Amino acid sequence: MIFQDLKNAGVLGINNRIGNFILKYNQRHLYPLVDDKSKTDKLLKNSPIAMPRNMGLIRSNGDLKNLSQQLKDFPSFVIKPAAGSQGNGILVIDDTRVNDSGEREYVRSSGAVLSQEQLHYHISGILSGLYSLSGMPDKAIIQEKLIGSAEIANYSYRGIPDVRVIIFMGYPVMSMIRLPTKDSQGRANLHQGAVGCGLNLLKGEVVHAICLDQPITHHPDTGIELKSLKIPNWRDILLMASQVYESTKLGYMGVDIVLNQDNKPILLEMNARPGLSIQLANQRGLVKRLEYIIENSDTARDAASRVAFIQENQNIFL
Amino acid sequence: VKKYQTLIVLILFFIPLFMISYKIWFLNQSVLPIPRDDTWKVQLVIDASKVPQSTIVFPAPSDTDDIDVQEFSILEKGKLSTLNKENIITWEGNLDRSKLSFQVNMQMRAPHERLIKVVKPTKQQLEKYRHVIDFPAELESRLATLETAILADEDKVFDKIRKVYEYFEQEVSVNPNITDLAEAIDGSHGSGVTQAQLFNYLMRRNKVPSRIVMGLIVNDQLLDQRKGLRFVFINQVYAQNRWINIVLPRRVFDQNLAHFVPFTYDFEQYAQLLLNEDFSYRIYTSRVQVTKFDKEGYGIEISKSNSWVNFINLYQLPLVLQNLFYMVLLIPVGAIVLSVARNIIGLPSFGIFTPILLTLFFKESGPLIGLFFVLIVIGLGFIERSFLNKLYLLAVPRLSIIMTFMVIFLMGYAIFANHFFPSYAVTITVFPIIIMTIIIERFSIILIESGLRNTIKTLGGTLVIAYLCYGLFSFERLQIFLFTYPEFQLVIIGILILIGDYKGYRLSELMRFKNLVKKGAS
Repeated sequence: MIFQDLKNAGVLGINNRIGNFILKYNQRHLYPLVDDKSKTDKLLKNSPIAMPRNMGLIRSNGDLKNLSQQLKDFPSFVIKPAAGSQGNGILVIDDTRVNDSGEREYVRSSGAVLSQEQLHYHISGILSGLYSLSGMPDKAIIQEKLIGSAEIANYSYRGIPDVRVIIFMGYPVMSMIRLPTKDSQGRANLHQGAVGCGLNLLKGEVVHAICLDQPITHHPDTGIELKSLKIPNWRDILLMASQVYESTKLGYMGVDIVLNQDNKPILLEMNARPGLSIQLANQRGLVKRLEYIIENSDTARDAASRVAFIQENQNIFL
Repeated sequence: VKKYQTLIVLILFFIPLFMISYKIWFLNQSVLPIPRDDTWKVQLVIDASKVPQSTIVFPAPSDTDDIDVQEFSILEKGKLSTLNKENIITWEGNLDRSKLSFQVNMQMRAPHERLIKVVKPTKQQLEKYRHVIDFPAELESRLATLETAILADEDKVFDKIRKVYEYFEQEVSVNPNITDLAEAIDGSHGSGVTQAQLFNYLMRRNKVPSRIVMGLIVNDQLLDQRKGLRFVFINQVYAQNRWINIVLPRRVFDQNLAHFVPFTYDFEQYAQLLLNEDFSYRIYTSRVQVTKFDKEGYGIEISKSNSWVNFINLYQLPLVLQNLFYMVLLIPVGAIVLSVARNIIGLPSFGIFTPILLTLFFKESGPLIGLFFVLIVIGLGFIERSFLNKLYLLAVPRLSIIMTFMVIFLMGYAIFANHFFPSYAVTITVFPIIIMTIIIERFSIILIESGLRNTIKTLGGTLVIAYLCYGLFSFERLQIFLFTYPEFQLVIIGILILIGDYKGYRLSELMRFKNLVKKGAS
């Protein structure tokens, strides 16, 4: 068969992912919990899992009137579509200032300056569903602007790198770190040219790296060697990603985590249909790992012992 | 439920296949309506080099009850020729060019398509057909003798016709070389046209309205004749309130003539030219491949059988609804193509059903005009991105502006096309607006989310799927099969279940994971 090589390499294909994992392990009614960031926020409010601080939620164009009042104590912030995907529609404001004619101006991380009107326009685009997964009307979330870990800042061009962990039945099965590039315009989005580095699940070290599906060794903009990257607080990241399972009950999901300036993991978002390029970043197929979990999972294990289980079975998960 | 999936699929396959086999083998129903290729091309070439006159007037076929003249082309266009409303061509001026020709496409109407417009000739018209014209005076007495011999003192009109016909049938033999009327009267033989003339004179002398119809008989048996067809001359006499056909050389009396294409009912007008020894012509005919199915005939066949398997019979619907289903039943087949393209091959597309909508649009407006419209839509999408975006308008009115642009463009196109290429103007339907709305919305989202490269890929995938479906939809036999056997839709559901159950790799993943596999092999 022409697909024999893919099968031997244990590559998880799209049809297999949808038919045997997403449809089987993710109940449809749970999707909104992860698709809508405002619901994720509510869900995890009382858990030990840290998320970026929420400063406001805009549900309609009417809410825009109070926006500048709401933001007056926060010169820097991030505006996100609640149901957005792949980092689309996210606006990062580094600073707010008042110009000569007494109007507010917002400085983006790229240095571009937005007027109050332009900011409102972007938000109403979010509200009309321009960036939402389904195209349905959406909400806009205003969050604190995170400052990334200084230890790994050299590995990205603007933006903050995020760690994606695939969690299957609560077990971390594969992970990568996504490093923004000039092409991806500071976004950690592989489709748009961000670098994806596969990570060793035991130590959080880079095993392989790709950019636009092609193998690379150095960051295209900063020129730094990617193999030298080691993620700080790796075990905490894995633990946080595994803990989320208890709240969402989604069997197959992608969990996105960033490290803040104190190297503390912060949960950014979750994804009920995580992409498959992570296999290219790791040069490993997912199928064997998923099958191993199906055979050996134990519902009695808590997050910590699930992470321990993965690290004990290096032969499968490395 | 999953356990029973195979069973469900088998049932979905079995029921329709059983019904179809039952109809074909047990009820002896025809598998499909009979295709009808009854469109003919007739080309007439006149050798004008030896004809002395500077003007040649010649008749060409026009619509009749059973013939639909569809295309007409005179090969020497311009100053030389003119075509009048009765389809009579006049070539005049410098006829040094030796060949004059015209070509006509016509379709024989099927029995149910025949226009039955019995127009009774007026008294004046009939009077015209009673006058003996141009009969050579020196033959008068010989014709009178013959007439007395045939008719004696018969006075009933129909019997007179009958007797004259019987005389030709029994006594006159066909000899194409004898075109001399005198010899035909005396010697009891003559060419087809001479016999027709003689018959015509005998009828008119007896005040029976009579005419000679010049025309062609086109059918497959005659196609072998390399040298081309010859005109046939048919006598028509008016009796019992109708025109009666008589073809003397073929011994035809009072029958309908299949595949007879009349050129003129006024033979006398052209007799001088046609009977000139130096006048020569050639006629070529061939079938044109136009598949048309005799749906009506098939509908009658199905309706006659009262079997339970025929309870869903689309042929019983009014024609408008039939035409609708003719198209609509293709959509599930398009869905199979779409499913295979997306889930097994891995082609991307805008939205889910956009490619099928595009296909229907292509079918309606033609594949090229359709593509042209899609490109216009894409162009408007870029205008939206690069220009309207800067006005900071809310999304819904902004996209509505684009849609209004499309409507304005359609108006402009309609006026332009109507002026320059009238046949293209009628291809405009409401479809582009609907498709446009769907595409433009998807287009702007994908452009934002995935960048230009992916948008172009997605656009390419959409068009490839749409054209694949278009190719499949062009098989009229498929269309007529689906229409004839509506139960086949169940099989399509079965096939879709099977495709939906495919959890294997997509062909596109061979490319996507190429690097991973290479490493695994080493």
